[in-house]
Amino acid sequence: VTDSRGFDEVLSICIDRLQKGDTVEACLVSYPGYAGRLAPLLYMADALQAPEGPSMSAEGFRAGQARMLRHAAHLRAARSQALPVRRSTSARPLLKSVRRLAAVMAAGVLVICLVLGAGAATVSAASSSLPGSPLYTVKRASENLATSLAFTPRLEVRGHLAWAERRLREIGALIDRDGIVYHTLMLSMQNETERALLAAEQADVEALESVLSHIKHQQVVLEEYRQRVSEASRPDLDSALAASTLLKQRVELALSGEVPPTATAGPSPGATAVPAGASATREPGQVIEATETSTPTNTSGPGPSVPTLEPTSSPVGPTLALATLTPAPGTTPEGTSVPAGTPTLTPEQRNTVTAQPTGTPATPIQTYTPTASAVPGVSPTDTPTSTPTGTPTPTLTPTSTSTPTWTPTPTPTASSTPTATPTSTYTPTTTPTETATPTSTSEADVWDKSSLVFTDQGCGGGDIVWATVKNNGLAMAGPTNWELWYAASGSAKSGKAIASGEIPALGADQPYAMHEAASEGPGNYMFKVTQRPGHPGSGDLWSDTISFDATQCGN
Amino acid sequence: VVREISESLLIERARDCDAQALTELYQRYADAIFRYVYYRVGVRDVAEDLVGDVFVRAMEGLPAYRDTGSPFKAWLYRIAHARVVDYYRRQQVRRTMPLDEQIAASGKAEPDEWVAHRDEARRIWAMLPQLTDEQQQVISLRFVAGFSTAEVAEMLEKTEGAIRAMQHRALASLRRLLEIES
Repeated sequence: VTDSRGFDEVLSICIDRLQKGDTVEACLVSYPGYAGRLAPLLYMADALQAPEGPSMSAEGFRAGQARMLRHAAHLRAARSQALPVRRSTSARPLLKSVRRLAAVMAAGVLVICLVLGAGAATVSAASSSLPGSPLYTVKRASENLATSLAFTPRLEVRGHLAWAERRLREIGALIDRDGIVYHTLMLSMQNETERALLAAEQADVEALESVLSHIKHQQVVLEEYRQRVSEASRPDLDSALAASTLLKQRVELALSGEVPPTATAGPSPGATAVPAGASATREPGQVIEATETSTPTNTSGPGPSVPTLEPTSSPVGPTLALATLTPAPGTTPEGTSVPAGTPTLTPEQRNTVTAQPTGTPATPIQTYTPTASAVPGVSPTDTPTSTPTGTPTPTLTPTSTSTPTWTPTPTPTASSTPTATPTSTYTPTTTPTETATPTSTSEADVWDKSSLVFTDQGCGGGDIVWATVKNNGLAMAGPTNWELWYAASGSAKSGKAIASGEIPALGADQPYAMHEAASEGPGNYMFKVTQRPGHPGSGDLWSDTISFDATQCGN
Repeated sequence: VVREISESLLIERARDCDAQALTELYQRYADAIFRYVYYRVGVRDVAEDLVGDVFVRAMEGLPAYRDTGSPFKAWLYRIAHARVVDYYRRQQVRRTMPLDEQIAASGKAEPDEWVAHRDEARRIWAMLPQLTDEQQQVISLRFVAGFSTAEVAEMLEKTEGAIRAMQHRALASLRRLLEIES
């Protein structure tokens, strides 16, 4: 070994040896070729060893510990004070809950232990709470705070993906409960996913791949939701699917090494633009917050609460069409228009050339008259073709009689200065939608190559049974569930499930700990974990039996 | 079967603001964190105060903590590093001020007994603030906290090769500074 890099390695090896009690001389003998250079540095390193380094004074140690425990007590007190609020809260509109979120966030760290400091039961309750629930604001605040404390872009990516996954599940739960799709949740999910993408773009390829994997999973689930909702709610899910496709394309572009679209990139056919304020232009890193005041009103009646542009002309082949919304001549916008909804092009509109929004403007009046230009920009080779499995080629037939309805309801802000020209740019391409290329449905069964194994289990801490799992495979594309089973005697498998929870999407080799109160008292407990869909095993994984006996497991 | 509660469960309970779990974690890591901080700020009282700060911040940040396989204490060291940086930013302490002068300036005339009888080590550690931030981190994490190059690399999100090179340059710089002083 003669190069400098080799020397650095030898130096490091020798330092490791010194730390284990070896001597400088012994190391020099091991590397005679480097002895001359090694000696002064190793003597320096040896002098730096501080086996008898300073310790905290007893007073300082106690003071630090007391300070930490006082803080913990403060957090617990805040939790107990918050409990009455839970009971007194009545059903409120979803958007008010979202608005309250900002106030809750201001409570900062106090809130975090309302969620995560109330014991396992509260953790479970908060994490599974739905919009409208008192715990929901706590849940969302904790997510924001947790993400803000992430140290690295990769951690941030994981946080945002976890929150996006939560929104996705909430959407599903509310579909089951109310039969409708909550638009604000949808925007929030898209927002979290986009935040994850922005963070991933600052991280690395692995982070981008995790975002891509999540988006694919998101599309599968959204497609499944689409089958469950009424016809009237489907456009919302179409919008979400399209937005997901847009983000997916961005990730794929980033992974391919091309500059990801930012400011003027438009959505794919049927895709949903994610506007930021009055313009489609978004600064890198800018976060689009879904707020009550920024949600546009759709006056077309029941259906998606998103502004919709529909085509009025026939397709002219693979065409990149740009429909630009500009204020009508002579119109002076009063106040700031913030159409933060999701302009949508439905799958039939992929070759839109002209869009003419109409509608009754709200006050302050601001009318948008879109102008459109067709830019042949896609070669014929981009035309979708049938798959080998006989999947039909997507039908590119726009509805020619549809009338666009685009009635933004601008909300004036304190400032009367008009903002930049509101511009929404649509960039349909010829990518087939999920109806033409049903890969998304087949992906539901595609195994993400994750594989969970139990690494340990036991009991302790009074009445706690616990188990740890580890993902021995590739990164999980989504979360999975665990259950705690109990039987007074015999195998817990033949008993009953007494608790459940969610294991978040774990990275490769990432461990996860579950714990739950042994609420049934003495007996046998077993944790059950469900593998990710498509796992070649049986799908369920059981821990060893945890024989719980308060005299053995108690403190 | 009675089993010792694993660190991961301890962390889970600390997330619940469980006093017992927090105390256990504090007892495990407070001294190590203190040494790391002390070597960076050079003043015992300040270092002890920062240790309390580190654990309060850690408690607040536990919801964001994800067990990625690297030691929990590595995460604590990162918080400690951030607190040291923040301390210097707030105090506007001159980083190039020798440790002895910092001690004198702080009114603490007597350095700790542990260095009093180790003059050479004391002189070397006093030069640490003259290194770059990254070099200081590497030296502290390697020689105070006892992390391997692989662990330091993960904590600082650099390659092992980069850490080894930084370690080499840091030791060489310290040697040059020692020669100049001599």
